Amino acid sequence: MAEPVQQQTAASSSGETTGGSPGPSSGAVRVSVPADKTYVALVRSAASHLGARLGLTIAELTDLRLAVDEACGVLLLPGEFETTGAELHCRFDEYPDRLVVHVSAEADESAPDVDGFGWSVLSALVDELRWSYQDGWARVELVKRATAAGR
Amino acid sequence: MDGLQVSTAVVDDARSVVSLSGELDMATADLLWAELEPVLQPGRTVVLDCAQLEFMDSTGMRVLLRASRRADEVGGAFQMTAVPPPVERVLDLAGVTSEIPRG
Repeated sequence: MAEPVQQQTAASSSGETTGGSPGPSSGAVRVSVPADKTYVALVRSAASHLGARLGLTIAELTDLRLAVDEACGVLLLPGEFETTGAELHCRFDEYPDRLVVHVSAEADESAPDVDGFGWSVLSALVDELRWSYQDGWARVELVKRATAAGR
Repeated sequence: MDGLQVSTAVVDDARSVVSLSGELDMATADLLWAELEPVLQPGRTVVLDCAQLEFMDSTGMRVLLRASRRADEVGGAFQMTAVPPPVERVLDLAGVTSEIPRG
């Protein structure tokens, strides 16, 4: 089986995933919702709005919306991370050329089903993807870049 | 949050059309299965009209695969029609495009 993911050894506090790039354009956008599937539509809406600000093409926006949905699924669906927390925390860091999205929740020690449909779809949609479990928190981080055509 | 609207029309003894509108995701997938399961019967073709479907994720897609399998098991048929690009995208990425016939 392929190992498409790395477990982070240290929690990232800045959202930086590529050294030397410009920093975030503005402060992070945080969206917290109940850890319930009903609220994932709200997170998708936030992602769509921020993706449009970044100048993503329609196709890229479609992919971003789906990717953020699937990332939430990794924390909310059976057979994935065993979330115990009542809230799902989403943080969006806006950069001039990309959006970095973190989705996290308190969870029992567990891991995503990286062989499942959800993770494989998710990994095809984004430019970077990783998951981590540390200190009682499960986290999925993804990076979606804008092509020049969209800006 | 608009959710998912499902309406089922019985065309004749051999054909039902199930029309979707809105978003088929992890929150609404169970609703769709509850609508589809009773109409997946021997000798009946169920056509899923996706023209107004704005979003589908992998959980929603799993319901379609389940419906397709059920139709095969009971000797019926399950087809999709008017599949919009965002929905086609999920089927494509999951590598299951060929598993559900188009009506």
